[in-house]
Amino acid sequence: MTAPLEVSGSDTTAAPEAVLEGVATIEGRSLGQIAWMRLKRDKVAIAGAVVVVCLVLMAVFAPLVVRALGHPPNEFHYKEINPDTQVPIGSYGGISGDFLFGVEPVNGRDLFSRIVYGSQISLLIAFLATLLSVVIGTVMGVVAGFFGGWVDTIISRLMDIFLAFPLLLFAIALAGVVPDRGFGLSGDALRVSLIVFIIGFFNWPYIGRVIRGQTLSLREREFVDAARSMGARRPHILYRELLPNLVAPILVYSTLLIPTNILFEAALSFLGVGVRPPRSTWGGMLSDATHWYQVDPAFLIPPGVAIFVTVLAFNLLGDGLRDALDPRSR
Amino acid sequence: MTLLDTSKPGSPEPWGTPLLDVDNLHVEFRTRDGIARAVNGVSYSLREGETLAVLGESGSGKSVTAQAIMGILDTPPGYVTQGAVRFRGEDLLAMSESQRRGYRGTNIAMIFQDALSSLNPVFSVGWQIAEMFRVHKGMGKKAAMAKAVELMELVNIPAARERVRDYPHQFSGGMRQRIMIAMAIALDPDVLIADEPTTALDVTVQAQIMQLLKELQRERNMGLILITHDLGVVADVADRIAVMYAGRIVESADVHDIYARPAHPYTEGLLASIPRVDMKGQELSAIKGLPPNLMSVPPGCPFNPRCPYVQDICREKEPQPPYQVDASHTSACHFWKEVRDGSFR
Amino acid sequence: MGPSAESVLEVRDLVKHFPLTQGIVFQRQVGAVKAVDGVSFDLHKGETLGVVGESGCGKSTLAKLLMVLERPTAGQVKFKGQDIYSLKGKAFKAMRRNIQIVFQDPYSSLNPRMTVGDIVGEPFDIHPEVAPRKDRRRKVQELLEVVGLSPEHINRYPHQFSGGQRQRIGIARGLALRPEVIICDEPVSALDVSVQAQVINLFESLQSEFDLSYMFIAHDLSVVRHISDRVAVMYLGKIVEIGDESQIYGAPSHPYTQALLSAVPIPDPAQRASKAQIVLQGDVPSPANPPSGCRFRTRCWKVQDICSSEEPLLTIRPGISHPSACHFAEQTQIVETLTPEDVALPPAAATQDGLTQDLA
Repeated sequence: MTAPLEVSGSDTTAAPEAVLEGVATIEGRSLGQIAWMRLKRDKVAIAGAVVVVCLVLMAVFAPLVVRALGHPPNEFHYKEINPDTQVPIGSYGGISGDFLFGVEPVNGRDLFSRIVYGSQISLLIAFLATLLSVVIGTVMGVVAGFFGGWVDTIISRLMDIFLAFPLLLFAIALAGVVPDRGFGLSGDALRVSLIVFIIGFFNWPYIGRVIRGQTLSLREREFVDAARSMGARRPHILYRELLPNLVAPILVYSTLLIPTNILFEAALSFLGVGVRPPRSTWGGMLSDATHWYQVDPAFLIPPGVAIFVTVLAFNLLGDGLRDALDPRSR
Repeated sequence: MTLLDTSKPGSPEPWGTPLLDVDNLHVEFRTRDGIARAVNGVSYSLREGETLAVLGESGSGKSVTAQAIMGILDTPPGYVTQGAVRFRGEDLLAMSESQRRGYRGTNIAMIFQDALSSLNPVFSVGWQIAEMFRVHKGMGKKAAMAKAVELMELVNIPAARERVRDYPHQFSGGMRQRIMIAMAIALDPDVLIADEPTTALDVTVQAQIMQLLKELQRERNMGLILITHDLGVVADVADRIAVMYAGRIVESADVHDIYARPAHPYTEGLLASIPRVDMKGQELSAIKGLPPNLMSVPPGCPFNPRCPYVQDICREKEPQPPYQVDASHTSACHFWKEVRDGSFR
Repeated sequence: MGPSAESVLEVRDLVKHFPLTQGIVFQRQVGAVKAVDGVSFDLHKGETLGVVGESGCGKSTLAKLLMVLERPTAGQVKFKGQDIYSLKGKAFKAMRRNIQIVFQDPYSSLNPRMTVGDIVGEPFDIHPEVAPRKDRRRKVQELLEVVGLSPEHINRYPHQFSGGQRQRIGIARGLALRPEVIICDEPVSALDVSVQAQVINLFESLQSEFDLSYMFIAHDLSVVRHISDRVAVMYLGKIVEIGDESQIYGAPSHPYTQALLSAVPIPDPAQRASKAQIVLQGDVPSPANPPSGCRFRTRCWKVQDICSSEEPLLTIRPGISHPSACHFAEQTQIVETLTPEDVALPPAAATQDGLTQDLA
C-alpha cells in the first residue's frame, strides 16, 4: 500500500497536501488545553491567579508603585509620631491619604512602602526555594521511580532522613552562625541565598515522594511497555513517555509549595534570622508589631493581611490547577 | 422451538401487586460539561421468585437505574427527576431518607461487581456480616457472630468457623463475592439486585457464583434483578430480559422469546455480534458505530444512527412508549414486526 | 491465506519465576512465584494460536516474555530459528520489529499526552530506518485508514476516542513496523459487546491482508474459538492441553479444559436443559506454592494417587488426537458444535412463525 518509488514532479506531493488540508479542520484538543478551559471556568482559582499576578507585578515594580503611592521604605517621618508616646499621631496607626497603611511607631516609616518592598523578599525567596526543591525533588523522584531497585531504596531512605531533620531549629542555628560575607556574596544577597538554600534544600523530599510515586505508577502503564516492546531506549521512555505526564503534578505541587515557603520565610524573619533590617520583610514587620499590640494592634494588620492574602491566593490557584489537570482527584 | 413453553417459571400474572415496580424513572447527571440523561423513562416490574435480567452496554443506564432503586445514587451529580419505584405498592422515592433506610438491606439488597472495594478492609468479614444483625436486628455480639458463621456456611465458604475472623484481602475474588452475597441475604430481603456480580471473575468461578445465586433465589423465593452485559449468563438464568440502550428499555420479553425472535434491531445486532463457544465458522456481524453520548442523544430513536433498517420516521419520532408485541413482549422500534419476522433481511 | 506448518516462533521449556523477597533494606529471597513454568509450543506462519486460561495461569507473563519485556529464568524462544534472548544490539532491535503487541487496556496503553499521530508514528521514531521522516505522516494516515479510523484524526488525543477506537489506534501502532507476529493480550476483553465484534473482525481481516501470525491470549473461550486455528489451555504456569480448535472444543481430553468449557454460558436459553455443567470446587492454588505432581489435582474429580506423585507430561496419549497433560485423559464432548445454520432461523420459517403468532 505504500509507494516506495520516488517519482519526480508535482503529482507525488499533491496527495499528502490534500490530506493535510483536511487535517487542519479537525483539531485535537490536548489535555493541557482542556485543563485551561476548565481552569477558566473555575472562578475561585481565577481570582487566586489574578491576586498572584498582581502580587508579582507589585514586587517587580515595587520602586514605581512606591514612588506613585508612598514614600521610600526607610525614610523616617518623625512629624507623624507623637514624641511622648512614640505612636503615630493620626488614628488607626496614622492612616491617611499620604500614608495608605499608616506609619510605623518610633520612626514613622511608611508601612505601605514596607509591605510593597516586603513582597519582593517573600516572593523571591518562596519562588527560588520552590524551584530548588522542585528541581532536586523531581530529579530524585524520577530517578528513584524509574530505576527502582537499590537506587530507589537509597533515595527513599535519604528522603526519610531529610524529613526527620528538625528544619526550623537547624535554620535558626545556621542563620545565626553564618558570617556576613562568604561565597562571594554579602549582605542581603547572602542572606537570601542562605534562606533559599535552607528552605529549598530541606523541602525537596515532599515533592520527591510525590514524583516518585507518580513515576512508579506511570512506569507500570501499558504505553511504557508498548514503547519498550518496540525497542525504545531509556532516554526515549523518560523524555517522551514519562516526563510529559509528570508536568501536571509538578506544576500543581510547585504552586502548593510556594505558600508553604512564604510562611516559612515569614517565620524565619519573625524569629529574627531572616533577611536583616533595615530591609523590610513581612515576618519582620509582624515581629515589630507585636511589641506594640497592647498600645495599638493596628500595626499587626498590614503584614498579617499581606501574608494571609498571598498564601490564600496561591493555595486557591494550586487547588484549581489540580482540579483542572486531574478531574478524578475530586 | 415451541412458542408456548409451559415449563418456564414465573408465567406472567397481569393482576395483583408486583414485588417491585419501576415506573417511568428518569435520572440525570448534572456535570460541569453539561447534563447527561442517563435514564430516560425506564419501567419494569419484578415478581416474587422471578429473575429479571437487565442487559446493556456501559453507559446504557442499567447500573444507574439500580442505584436509583436502592437510593444510593451519588447526589450531586445524579438526580432522579421523575418517576416512581414502588416496593409492594409503596413509592420508595416519595419516602424520607430514614424511612427508606428501613427498606435497604431488609427488603431490597444489592451486590456489586467489585467485591474487594465493597468490603471494608479494616474489619474482619465475620464482623461485617454480623454488623447487619447488630444494626438492623439489635442482636448481641456473640449471637450476631454465630449468625455470620451460619451465613458463610450457607454461601459455601469452606472452613467458615475458622475464617470468620479473616480480613477481605485474605480471600480470593470468588470467595469475596460469596461474602458479599452473604451480607446481602443476611436480612432475608425480598429483592436482590446483582450488578455485574461475575464480571470480574473467572469463568469457572462465575459458574459457581451463578449457581449459588440461583439456589438462594429458589430457596428464598427472592426476586432477582441481574444487571449484566453478558448475553450468555443471561440466557442461563433469566426468566425475563429487559434490554437497555441510551437510558431506555428498547426491548423486554421472556428469555426464550428474546433470543429466538428479537423484535428490536439492537437486540438482534447484539445476538449476531457475539461469538459462541458452541459454534465455529460463524460470521460476526458487528453493529456499526458507537453508543451515543448521553449529553447529545440523537433525536428520534436513539439507535437510529447505528440501525441497519433505519427509515425517515426513526430520525423524527422516538418509539416511546414501546410497542406491545404480545402480552409479555415490548419493543421500542417502529418496525418491530419486520425485525421480528426477519422481513428486512 | 491459511496457516502453514512453517514455524515463526518456537517456544521451548520457557520458565519465568518471580522471586519473592523479604526485608526493606537487606532483601533476601523467600520463594518464587512460578508464573510460567516450562511452556513449549510452536506458532505457525499465518495461524492464530489461542491461549486460554484463568487469571493467574501465566498467560500475560508469557506475552511479556515473548515481547522481551521480561527475561526468562530458563528456556528459549526462537524467531525464525534465532534465539531472541541471545540477540544483542542492532540484531535484537531489528528482531523486535517483527514481534509486536496489542494490549488489553485501551486506556492505559496509549500515552495521554501524545496525539494519535505521535502514538502511531512512535515506532518510526524508534526505528527511523523503516520510514524516512517525510513519509511518516502519510504512513501514519494510511495505518489509521487500515484500522478503520479517519486519517483526519491524526491530531487528536486518545481521550477523544471511545474504547473501541482506542483499541484500533493500538492496533495501528502494532502494525506500523510490519511485524510478522502480533501478540494480542486480551485485546477485546475491555470492550463493550457491540464493539467487540468490530475489533475481532478487524483482526481477522488484517491477518489475511498482512499475512500475520497471531498469538491471541484471552480468557473468553467463545472469542478464542471464533478467531483461533489452534488453542493452548494454560493452568498454573503450564500448558495442560494443546490442539486444533476442533480438537480442543469438540473433543477436550483434559479435565480442566472440560470444566472450563462446561462453565461457559451459551447465549441460547433453549440449550439450558441439555447442557451438563461441571462446577469446579475451590480456587486456583497460589503459583508461589503449586501442588506437587499434576497442578490441577486439587480441583480434579478424577484425582488418584499417581496425580500427586508424578507430573503428567504434555504428550499425545493413547486414544487422544492431540497432546494432553493428564494421566487419565479421555476425550469427551462437552459442548455440541453447531453451525450457524443450526441456530439462525431461516427467514421463511420466521415469517411463518410470525404468521401463526398473528393468527393465534
